[in-house]
Amino acid sequence: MNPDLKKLYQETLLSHSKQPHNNHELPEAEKTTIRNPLCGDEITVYRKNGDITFTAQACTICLASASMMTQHLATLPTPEAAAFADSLVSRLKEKPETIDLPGDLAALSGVLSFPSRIRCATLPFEAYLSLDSSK
Amino acid sequence: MTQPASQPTPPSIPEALAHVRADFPILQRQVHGKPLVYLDNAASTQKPQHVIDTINRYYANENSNIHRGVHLLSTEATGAYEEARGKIARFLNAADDSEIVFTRGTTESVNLVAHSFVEPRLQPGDEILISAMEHHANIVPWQLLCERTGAKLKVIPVTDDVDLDLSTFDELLNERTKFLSLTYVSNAIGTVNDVKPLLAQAKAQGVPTLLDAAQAVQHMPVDVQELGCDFLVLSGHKIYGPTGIGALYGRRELLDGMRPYQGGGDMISHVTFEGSTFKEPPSRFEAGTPHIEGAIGLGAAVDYLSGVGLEAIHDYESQLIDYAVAKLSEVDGLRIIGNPRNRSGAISFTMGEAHPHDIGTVLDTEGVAIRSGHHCCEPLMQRLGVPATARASFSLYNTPEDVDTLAAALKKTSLLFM
Repeated sequence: MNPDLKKLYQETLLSHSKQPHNNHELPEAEKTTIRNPLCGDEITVYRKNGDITFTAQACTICLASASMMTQHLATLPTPEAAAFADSLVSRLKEKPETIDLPGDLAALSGVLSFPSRIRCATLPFEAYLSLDSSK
Repeated sequence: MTQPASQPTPPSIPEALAHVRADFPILQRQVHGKPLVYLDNAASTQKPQHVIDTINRYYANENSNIHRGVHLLSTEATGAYEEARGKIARFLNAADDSEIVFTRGTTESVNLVAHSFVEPRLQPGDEILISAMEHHANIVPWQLLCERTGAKLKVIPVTDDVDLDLSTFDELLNERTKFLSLTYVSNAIGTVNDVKPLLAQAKAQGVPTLLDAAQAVQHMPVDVQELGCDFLVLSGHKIYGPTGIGALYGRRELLDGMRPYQGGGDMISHVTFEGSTFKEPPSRFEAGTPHIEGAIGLGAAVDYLSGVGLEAIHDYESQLIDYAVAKLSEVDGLRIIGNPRNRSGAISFTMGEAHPHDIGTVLDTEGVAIRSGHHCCEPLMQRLGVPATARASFSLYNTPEDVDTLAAALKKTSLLFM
């Protein structure tokens, strides 16, 4: 298999996409939905009392990214979570050669070899950020 | 050698198409270290050397503005531009060259007809009829028109096989219907609609018609007089020509009565501050300096298509599509979307847990270019209950080996995600 492809679809990413964490609605939570008009992928992110969940109709990379995001951001206070999301989106969009991301999120670095898929990875974080910007 | 009954038989490439691959220089390149297998032809086709050379020659020898200079270059450029119009007219069997308007493509052609022909004829409550398998280019211009006029957009439904569901057509085409705009071939599914009787029924009821032939004219002979449509629209880049150029065919009698689409140079007879008068069609609809090399390149593209022969292309591509349907049906977990009675150009599919974008990425690393997404047909995707599909779309230069490579790459995809 192509080594870039192997890195993209590595076990960590596939296990998150096949069994995503926090993949459900959250009643009475703040929520926001965003859509990638290029492909039709859609994600809704919910936030309530530090819990973050999501529902999505999306590709493997987007689902895995959302799953990893909800786990990671829940460990941070809200302002830091937003700062982290903002930084991740900005850094990925700059298409660097490499990127250091904590924990399972490191698996997202595989998208850097596939520039057309970077948005798939950033979409959940953009949805999270729009929770605050849509207030 | 006899193939086992269960094995699909690859079509042999007929003499007329035996050498076409050599005409397309891009087919020699590699993608991710693999030979390019280009199966995204419904999005845009590759260009033959004849088209590339024609555009180069225009810029190297004739480049000038048209319809306005008395010098030799302008005369030659004007001649080449108008000659291209004639080529499109003959390609579609239009009654006269002046029935061909150069536009930016299918989208602009539809918008032009909506603005200049249909809008002045509409009253609130009137209806425009389209189908559920239209491309956004044949939906959104009509929605915008309905918003401006108070008219209503009506939709011919599709069956689960993604053929037109004509069970309610007689009610949908009624005295309120002021225009029928239909796709000939579905870009998303490949359905070839049996449009002739529908166009005839509309004509009998006095309803003018437009045929979106963006996915038809490169795959089969198209004769506007035999079909009986009032307008027909196409895009250059989908028929081996340049991007940014397309054509509108309109019956001259209708074009004569239409208001301009855009105002500017080259479309006027006379301008004063009190008012302006306009040229006859087609110039009335070609404001400003047009896409000259695009039109000339499009002329070269239809020359190329006619040189190979649309009958031969149609026969071969039909066999290739049948072979592809059979080969793809062998891939575990792959579901072909739609089972139309007559298919041309495209096959859409999904594969279990593998999202179409993931399929597209894996195939890309195997050198195989396909399209994934909603194919600018969101209402059709909603009707079919899929957010997106993967689509392989074929052209005259694709081979049975391309299909085999696609099927093998899909089997690899299946192993990764299932």
